Amino acid sequence: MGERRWTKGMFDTEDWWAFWIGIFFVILGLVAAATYNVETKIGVDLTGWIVSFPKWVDISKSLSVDKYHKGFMSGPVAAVVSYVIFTIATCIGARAMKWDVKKYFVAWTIIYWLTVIIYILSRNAYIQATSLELKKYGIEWSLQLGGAHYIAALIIGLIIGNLAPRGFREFLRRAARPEWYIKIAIVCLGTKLGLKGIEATGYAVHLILAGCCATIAAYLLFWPLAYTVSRKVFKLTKEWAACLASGISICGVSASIATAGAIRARPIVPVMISSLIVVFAVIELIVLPYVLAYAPFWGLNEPMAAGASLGLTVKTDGADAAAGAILDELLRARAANELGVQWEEGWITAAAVMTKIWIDMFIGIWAFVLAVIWVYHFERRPGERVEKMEIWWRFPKFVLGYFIAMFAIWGLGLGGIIPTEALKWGIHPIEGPMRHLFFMLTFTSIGLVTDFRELKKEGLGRLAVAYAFILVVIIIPIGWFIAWLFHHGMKPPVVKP
Amino acid sequence: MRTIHFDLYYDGVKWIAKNDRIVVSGKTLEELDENLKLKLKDIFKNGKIKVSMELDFRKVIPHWMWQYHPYYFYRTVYLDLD
Amino acid sequence: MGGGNIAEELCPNCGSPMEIVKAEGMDILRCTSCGYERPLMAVEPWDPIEGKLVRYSIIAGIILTIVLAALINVYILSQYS
Repeated sequence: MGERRWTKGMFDTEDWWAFWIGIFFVILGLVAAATYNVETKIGVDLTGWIVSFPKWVDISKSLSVDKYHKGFMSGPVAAVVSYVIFTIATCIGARAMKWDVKKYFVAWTIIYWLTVIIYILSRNAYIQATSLELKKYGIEWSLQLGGAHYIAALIIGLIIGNLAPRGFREFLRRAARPEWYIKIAIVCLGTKLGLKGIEATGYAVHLILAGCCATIAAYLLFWPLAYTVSRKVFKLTKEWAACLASGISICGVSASIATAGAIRARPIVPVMISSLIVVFAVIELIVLPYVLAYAPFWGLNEPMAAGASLGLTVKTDGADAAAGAILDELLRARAANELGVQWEEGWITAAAVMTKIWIDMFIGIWAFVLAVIWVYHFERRPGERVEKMEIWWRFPKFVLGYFIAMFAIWGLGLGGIIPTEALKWGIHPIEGPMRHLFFMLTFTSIGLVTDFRELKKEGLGRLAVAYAFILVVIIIPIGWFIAWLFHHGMKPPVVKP
Repeated sequence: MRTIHFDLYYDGVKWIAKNDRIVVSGKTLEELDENLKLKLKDIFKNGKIKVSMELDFRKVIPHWMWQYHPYYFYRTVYLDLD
Repeated sequence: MGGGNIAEELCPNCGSPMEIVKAEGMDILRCTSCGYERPLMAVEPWDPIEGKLVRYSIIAGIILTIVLAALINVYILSQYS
């Protein structure tokens, strides 16, 4: 092993493979858009095969394709084609990462089709149609459970992950990679801000800037308070307190590992803390969206602030994006039912993801700061230097995909190189159906990998109490305040009639 | 300046720096650096050496955590053998 | 998750795996073979540099919160109220 290069990990880490896969499909969409003739409405359809899951009354209509590609192929055929293409894409990544591809393939197949079945069943209009949609579906009532498909995937994943025979659940975990799938979905989400940014550049930029500022403020308040409580109240050592403070106040598992590495901690430290983070993140994912959707101060009053607050308080990318997606569904359903307003889908999710992305980006800088303090002041090992490249090595590479997708679409659209209508035609299947499918795969995977028995393990008692205390007393209240301070008044754009 | 690379491991008790020719260990990183300095002095006698040590995250972080953060740390230590 | 794949510490005495157990209200590492024990987390006194890190972070956090919030509210959020 020679000196570490900046390209290290480019083809053998999930972070980079989320970038490669996400960007590949974005490029497919852009190439399709480039071939689209706005007058004849014809182009080389490279993305119309992506399966979509509309709400349905007649189950034969439960599978479809993107709304701009109706008629390209039937829904069931699209489901199979999507399976084939996404299987090839993820298996290429699995092979490059030196996984056991055969076992991954079998586990992935089970997870994919399980997710598809859950998706279909839970999109029934009697479960999900809003009051504005009852007439459209010809029904007189509906449970109006926005986001039911996400919750169903999570619950079924949790049931299998906690109750199925050990061998089976361990086998499925080979392809239950929630962080990988959500990172691919987040690259797809970048195209949403890209497309919306062409029509309303101001709103998208405002969301980006507000998210950045909220993150900076939160970082500098969360971490020292969490660290002080860990040290003084729970009597943890510097090593444990620093990793716990980062995990609970910044971005969960990745921050815990990043900090542990920065301060040269024993590997047992981030491993134990991460076990807690994952379980608590799922608890937050289940609880917080409903609290935010129905609490009087939040709910319909501050939907974007509520979304942003999830980015500051839910500590893994997968759980945060998942929580944002549930909140998005819940609030849009409420707005439709109670206000008679149809908010555009995905903006509350984008608020949740945007703050999380800034948090992910800054972890490299914060870890660098901690490394400098630990190496040069606490531990003082003569001759050791902290390399500035640590910031790059810790930088989340999938975020590059998110911004490249966004800026590419802005550049091509605002620059007049490709008409907006063409961009929508090519990119919308990526921004919509593909993103939703990978979100669903994330939900199923989160359920499969979360084992609540971890909390019973020896040694986690004091850490679990510290985690819960800091989360409830410090992180959530301050996170909610900061999210409100930087996002109050912003509402999702309304669907144009 | 001479540069030497090592793979770094942690076996639960001590840190171990290893390459094709040299294996050095220490209960703490300070002890490792001290032992490394003594070993390199035996080989090179004097001068300044840049030592880089990479801890492969796959060897210390369980598989389920790799998807979150695929990096642990990379140390650079400048040793003066004089 | 990894179904229990916590990184194992090895006993400095005999090299066997150590398990985490509770003893007298504290979490300790105990060797499964020779019984060697040590605290999982020792107690460390508060270092003045920690105080500086915490103090400066909080001060910077409060100042930046006020400044950035003012900028965002004046130049961005005022358009949405």
